[in-house]
Amino acid sequence: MDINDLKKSWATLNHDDLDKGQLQKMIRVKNHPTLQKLRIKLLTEIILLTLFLFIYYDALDGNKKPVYINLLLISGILLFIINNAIGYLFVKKMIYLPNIVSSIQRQIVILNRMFALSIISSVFYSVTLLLFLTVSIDFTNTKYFILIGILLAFSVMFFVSFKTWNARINHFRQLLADFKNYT
Amino acid sequence: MEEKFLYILNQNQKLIHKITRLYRDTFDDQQDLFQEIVYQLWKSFPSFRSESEMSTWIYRIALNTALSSYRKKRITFDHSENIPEKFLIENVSENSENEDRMFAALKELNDAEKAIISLFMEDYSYQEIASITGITENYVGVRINRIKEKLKIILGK
Repeated sequence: MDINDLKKSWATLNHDDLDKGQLQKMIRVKNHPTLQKLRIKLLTEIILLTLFLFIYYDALDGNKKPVYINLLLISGILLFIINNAIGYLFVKKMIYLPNIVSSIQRQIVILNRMFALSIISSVFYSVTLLLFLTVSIDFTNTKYFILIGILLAFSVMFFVSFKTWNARINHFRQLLADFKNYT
Repeated sequence: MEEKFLYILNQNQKLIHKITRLYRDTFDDQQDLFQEIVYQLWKSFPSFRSESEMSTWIYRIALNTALSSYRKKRITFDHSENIPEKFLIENVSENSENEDRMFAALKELNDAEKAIISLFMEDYSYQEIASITGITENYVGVRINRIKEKLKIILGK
């Protein structure tokens, strides 16, 4: 088999044609494999966090905490929701520039920005939540242990998030290098 | 507009099938990528300018989508639908032996090489390949020659 045989096989590739109905289904978001899952996740987060915003003030003694702590918590939650919504929109609309190399370059720039926003929003949200829960509280040994546990859990989450983002960005850097360099 | 789009898509779906088989190993992944490409084509359809060939436009978006959708390497288990097609015995009878050998060889290339050689196999000129990929025309020639050499070694194994 040589390159001409490859070209012949490529040109005459066998495949099962999809009918019009099947193709029509594919252009709807509700049938999209990734977008539908992301949409449900985003909506669930928005509903749960909005619900939390409505009940936390009474249920978690928000009225007994300083106003600035309440404001910080609300901004932390809003930033978290905005970050997730941006992520959804990014997946929904592919970057499509006149050529592949520029598209990948643009994708790397945007991913770096989203990486920064994601880490900032997660850290900000976690810090404001911790501040809210710990301000004007009488600490006992048990409470200190719980606090350390929460801090450790957050650290692991940040580390995993950092590694995932890095792997994603490095994948596109490597792809760009594969287009531009040949060794 | 939807009717027109579906008609064009139907006429050109073979192009998309080629890209999905080139960039994804399992049937499920190929189906997901097919759907993702169709969705992105539909989203970009209103901005399509007829100065470029329809098939070229589809090829650009299909390649862009295949390359842009980052997927973590998955560990697959003992389910036939997750077995890479090059190892699926049933496929040997279904598809021609040449097709299987072709995809097995092409899958040894990296993603950038796959894009360049697929455009070459679609008979695009060096100038068109340069315009679609964003590398220079001279460099396209160099890359294609090197990919051909690489494929010769792979196919000779």
